[in-house]
Amino acid sequence: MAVSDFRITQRTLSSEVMSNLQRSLGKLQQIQEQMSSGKVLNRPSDSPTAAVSSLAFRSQLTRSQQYQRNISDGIGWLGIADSTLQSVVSSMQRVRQLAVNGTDGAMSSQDRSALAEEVDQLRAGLVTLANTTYQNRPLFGGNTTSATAYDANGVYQGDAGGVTRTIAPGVQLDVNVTGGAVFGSGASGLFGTLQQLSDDLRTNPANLQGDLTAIDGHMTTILSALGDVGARYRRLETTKNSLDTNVTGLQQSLSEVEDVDLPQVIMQLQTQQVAYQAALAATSKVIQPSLVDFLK
Amino acid sequence: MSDFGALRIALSALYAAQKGLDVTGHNLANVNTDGYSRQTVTTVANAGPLTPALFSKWNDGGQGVTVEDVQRSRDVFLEARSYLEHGADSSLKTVQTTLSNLEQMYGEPSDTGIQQTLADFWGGWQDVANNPGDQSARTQLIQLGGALTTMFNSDASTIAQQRNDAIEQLGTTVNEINTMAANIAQLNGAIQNAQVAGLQTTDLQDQRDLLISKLSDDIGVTARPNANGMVDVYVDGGPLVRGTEAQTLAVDSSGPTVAVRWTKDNYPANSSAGQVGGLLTSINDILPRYATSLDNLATQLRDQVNQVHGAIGGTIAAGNQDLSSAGTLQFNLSVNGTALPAVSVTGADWSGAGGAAALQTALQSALDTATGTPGQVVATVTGGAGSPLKVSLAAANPTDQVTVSAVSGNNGFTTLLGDTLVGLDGVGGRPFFSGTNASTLAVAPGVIADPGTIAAAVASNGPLDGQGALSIGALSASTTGADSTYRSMIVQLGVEAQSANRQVSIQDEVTSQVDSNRESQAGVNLDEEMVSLLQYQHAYSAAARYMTVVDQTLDTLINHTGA
Repeated sequence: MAVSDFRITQRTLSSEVMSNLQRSLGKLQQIQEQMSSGKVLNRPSDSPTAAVSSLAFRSQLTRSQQYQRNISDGIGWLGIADSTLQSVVSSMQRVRQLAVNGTDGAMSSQDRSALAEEVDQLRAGLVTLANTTYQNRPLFGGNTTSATAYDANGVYQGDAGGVTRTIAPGVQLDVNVTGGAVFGSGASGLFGTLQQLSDDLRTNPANLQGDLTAIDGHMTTILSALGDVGARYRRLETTKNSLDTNVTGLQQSLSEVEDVDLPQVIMQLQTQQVAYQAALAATSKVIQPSLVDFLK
Repeated sequence: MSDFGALRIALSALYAAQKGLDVTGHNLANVNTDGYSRQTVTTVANAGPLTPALFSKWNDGGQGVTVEDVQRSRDVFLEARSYLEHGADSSLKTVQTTLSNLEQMYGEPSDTGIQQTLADFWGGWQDVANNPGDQSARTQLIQLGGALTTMFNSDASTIAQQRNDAIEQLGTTVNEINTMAANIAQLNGAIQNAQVAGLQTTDLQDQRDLLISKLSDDIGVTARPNANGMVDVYVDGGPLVRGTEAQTLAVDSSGPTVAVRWTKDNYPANSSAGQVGGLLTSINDILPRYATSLDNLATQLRDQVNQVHGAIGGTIAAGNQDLSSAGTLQFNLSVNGTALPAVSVTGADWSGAGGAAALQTALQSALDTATGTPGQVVATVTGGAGSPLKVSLAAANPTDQVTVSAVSGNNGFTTLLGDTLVGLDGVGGRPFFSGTNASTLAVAPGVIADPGTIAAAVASNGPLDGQGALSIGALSASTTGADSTYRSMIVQLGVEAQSANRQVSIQDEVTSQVDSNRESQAGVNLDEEMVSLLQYQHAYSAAARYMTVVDQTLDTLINHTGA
């Protein structure tokens, strides 16, 4: 017998078949893991580069979702500011009308007192509006710790601090309007002017023209603040829309990196099952008839 | 040759055929025995005397057959190769297991790993920034911080546990090696005795070689033949078995680096192959390396957050540096929780050249007066002369904790240290994280006790400001922050594990190739044995037939002639 030939023994056959079966079963297990977890990326070593993209996508996604939360919160702030300022504007229009009525020379001092009474009511209503709270904080108070933005005398209690929301990486937007900037404070402020108007209606109608000018000045400030709030509101909404697109895009990218291509994996599973069955069939043939079966 | 000589030839043929049948039967019996090498019978023809005596000659033919030897079919080169490949294979597999355990521990990428927890933690800061006055946002941030630190703690202890387990496993493996070495030496002795007595040693040799093969799985070995059929086994160049003498190994885990040493002289036996090699790589390289990475990550996160959270300082704008009319500027100072007298600086004009130095001197002397220990808290002032003055305070000894807060009714704090991040109580300079490594990282006890101490506000903006929390939340996007360090650590682990997986599958292939070569050389083939069986059976029948013929011949000669 020639030794140089590669001898095949029964043990070679069976060990080879065993190792092939193992390999085949291993592949089957890998595919089944992918199918059941829905992910091709189950551990970093499956693909280190995909794993790092996946991690980066995830942290970006969490960040973007946080920005979405920040924006929703900011939209809440600006929405309240917007509706409050709208009410302020309609009250102010009534005030202006009353002031114009007061300048009518035909009016008696009693009529003017009645007008002054209504102005006082409106002023009280405006102070309440200026003290509107949101999330337990005075809406127009900046970062103040005080419970209200204005005291009863119309003196500003807040500060000029901005309530800031981060809406994109490195982009921060103030979502508040400070009372000092809209209503002013003390005698020169809106509430001082209204007090003056009420006093003038009662005692000094000659000064009403001057009051009208001051009221118009305040009106302009308030309207421009309203415009500013509207602009910021729109900016937040635009940013929110683009963030939504961004989040969807990130989720898609994440899915592309991590998730299985189902039809492909199902095909692979089928193929692998067939391969495994074939290997099993081969195994049953390993117990080949040897010469033993033919000798008597 | 005498007439009866023919009977002797027949007998020797019967013996030889019988031996052949025995050996074939032995082969068949051991068809599935591990480490068995198939045996073959070598026979030689009995010739006449090789050196005829003087004046005599040998006319007769051969004298039958003798069984010379029973041999193992074994290729020593394949054996040596097999020890080498098996050693490499089991070393790589051990390393692969270690890395795959680490991968399993980090469990990335997932929604529950450190990466996601980190991202949630940074988000928590933004929620606090959105509602600085809200206790629930602060409590939630503490919970998120706690979840993160718990992950660090448990991962650190898992790595430490894994290393301890590996050391224990190393001890068990070394014990196994010592036992096997003793057995090999014993078998060597038996083989020597048998060979000297001229007995068969093939099966003993098989047993010994099987042990050496198992030994090579545990620790890389080389085997060299010694006299009388004995084999010496070497580990890392030193003899583990020499003839009938075996040395023992021991695990030395006293130092930071675990080693395997010879018991007799304490000299290291650093095999890089076999399970021992793989375990040593895991214990001394992979696990400490990943433990250190995790520790570094923990301290990086701690410092990153604490540096922003606890920084004490301020900026005085260029047009605002003449404070001569401000009177005395004051702020409260405490070191390690002990409140000290308020620090007082007399307002002056620091706008000109040298203003920074003058403010620093004034501030330092005021600090020294307050602490009573000159230099314990160090003030640094830079800038000025047309650019903003930057003021900062820090403890000279990094383990000292300095906190500052405003003196009510005095604006000195916001003037000098307005950029300090403060909690709801207006105090700044406290750490958010405590701990020195991954296993001790925790949210600082002070913060847990009072969520209001989370410094979300910049002092000059008032306590309901969220700018401080925003700057900490913005660390999430930092390219040099904990997030990116963590990602590069995971990538490194992934690459290392992937390469280990590939190496193992290649080595598996090589090892099975060598094994099948060896099996091809030494294994029993049933067909072959059946043929041998037939051969020897026929030989036996023929010899028996020959004997009958000789018997009949003699019968004719003795009983039927000369009557």
